Amino acid sequence: MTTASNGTSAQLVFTTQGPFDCVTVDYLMPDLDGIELIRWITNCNAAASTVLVTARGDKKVVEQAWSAGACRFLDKPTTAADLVRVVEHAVKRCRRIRNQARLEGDVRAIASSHQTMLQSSRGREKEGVRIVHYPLHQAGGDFLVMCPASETEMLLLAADVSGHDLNAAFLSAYFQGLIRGMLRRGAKLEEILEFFNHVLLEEWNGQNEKTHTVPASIAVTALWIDSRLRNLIVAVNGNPLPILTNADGFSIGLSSPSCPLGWFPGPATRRASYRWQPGSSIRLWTDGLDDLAKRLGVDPLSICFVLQSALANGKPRPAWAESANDDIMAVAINLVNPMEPLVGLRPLLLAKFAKEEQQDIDTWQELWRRSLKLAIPDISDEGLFDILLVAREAILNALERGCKAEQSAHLQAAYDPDARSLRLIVNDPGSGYEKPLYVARPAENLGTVHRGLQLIDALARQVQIIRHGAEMWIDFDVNLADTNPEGSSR
Amino acid sequence: MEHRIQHDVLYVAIRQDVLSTGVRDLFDKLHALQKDPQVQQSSWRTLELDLTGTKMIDAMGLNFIVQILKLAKERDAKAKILIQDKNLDRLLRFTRMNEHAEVVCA
Repeated sequence: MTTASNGTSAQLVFTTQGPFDCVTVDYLMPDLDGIELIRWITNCNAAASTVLVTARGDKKVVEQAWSAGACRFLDKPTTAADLVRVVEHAVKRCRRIRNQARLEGDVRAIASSHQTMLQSSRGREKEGVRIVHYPLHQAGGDFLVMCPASETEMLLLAADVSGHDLNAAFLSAYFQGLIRGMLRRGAKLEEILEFFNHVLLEEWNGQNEKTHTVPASIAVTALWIDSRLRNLIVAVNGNPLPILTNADGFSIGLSSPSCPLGWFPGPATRRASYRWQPGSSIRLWTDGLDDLAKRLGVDPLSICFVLQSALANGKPRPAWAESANDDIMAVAINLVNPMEPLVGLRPLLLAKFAKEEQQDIDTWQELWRRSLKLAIPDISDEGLFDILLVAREAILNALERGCKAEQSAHLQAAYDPDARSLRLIVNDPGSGYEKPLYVARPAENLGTVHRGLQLIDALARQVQIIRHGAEMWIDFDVNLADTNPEGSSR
Repeated sequence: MEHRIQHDVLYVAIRQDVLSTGVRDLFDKLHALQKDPQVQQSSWRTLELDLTGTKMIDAMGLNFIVQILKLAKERDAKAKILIQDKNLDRLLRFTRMNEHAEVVCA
């Protein structure tokens, strides 16, 4: 403890002998008054607590002192007991603020380390891998590891640790280290995931059971990419399924999912193998993007498309992505020629519709509309109308004629922004039709005929009928709102 | 769907999209309209179908429009379709509905 006889010497003491936890200040002093000194101290060090001691405890002085940053008041005359009580409280406050500042500094340091680890993966962007990562907090649990396993093989592992706190960041760093170490020792994908599960269950959550803390789990998407054999091994634990898209825009969801690691003992993962064709690419994301898609009422692929496009074009994060409630990570990988950027048809929609849910077609259509508007905000009204009407007719046709009870039809959309071309692909498990289902001029005699296929044929640029109509590839030229010529979008 | 007869015009208005999901209800209303004695006995000579509140018509919706137009055809009356949406204008023209009704885009 030290004292000063006036405001000016208090400033000197504060500057040369600090930091101080608490400063008690008289209101009336010979040079500068107590309010001015408190303001000066608050500006110098906001954590230091100041107590104003005054015999003039009127409302105006109290207001000025609050506004200058005082944390307590003492009326003169005061007792030693009151002084001790107030000073103790002020010291506690100061130490709490300092601790908090120290913690925030630690979080920033962890966040910086987290970003450094991600940057090592981001360096792969020139190799055909684009990573969008919008963490919700400075330090969080999403992480991505890309490690070469041989000259032609690479492991890509995108993970989401439960929680968004420092514990999640710590777990994330711990497992990133584990993966890198195991890969260097020649471990295979299954071994890594089984070991994760074991560590989480036996070591991490086992200890947590004793301390009654919340158990941890990790959602993982793992891809083992062999560019020589064009082979792909996929394992998904708790994350949304990754999507493989061919050069012609045809997409499939990869793998059969298992639950997140850290939930149950035993075989942790189901792996699936795929052969990929030239021009293929993969998109994967963590569940923060799925949550955002649900809130926006759009297909997650359309969000993925927008975020990836923004990244490729150096644009900032879209405003609607700011409202995410979770970390967002979206990765796109050019499988074929890693040195080339992603081009061609990119998926916007991929959905399965059950025959029994046909009455929900209006709700589905609204989701398609929102997804297309999100991905192609400047699409003309005419173009959007045509695509939606055709998608509706095609999926209704597939459900009506191609699906038996409990079967489903699939709709997907892919868009090439350079060619401004959009492809719808609709398929069903049926065997197609023996003869065309529509006549060329359906309204000729005001007959009630099957107009759905006629609409599709009339509104699209091109329709390819595959498997006798059980699959249709429907192409559109996408006119933008300001360049749309009058009349049809055909 | 609402209707009224004014002078020699049967006016039918649909204030919604004409889609597969709502067309069954519309067909029921159309059947009721066909059986309405006033509609049967009145000497209306023009059928005016007001679709100015409609933004989309799908294939089943088009079949419903065909049924309404047949109502006019049966008594050799004129048919007129009022729309506001340009996309519907395109739709009605390339499906050649305009050969059976005058399409008026407001």
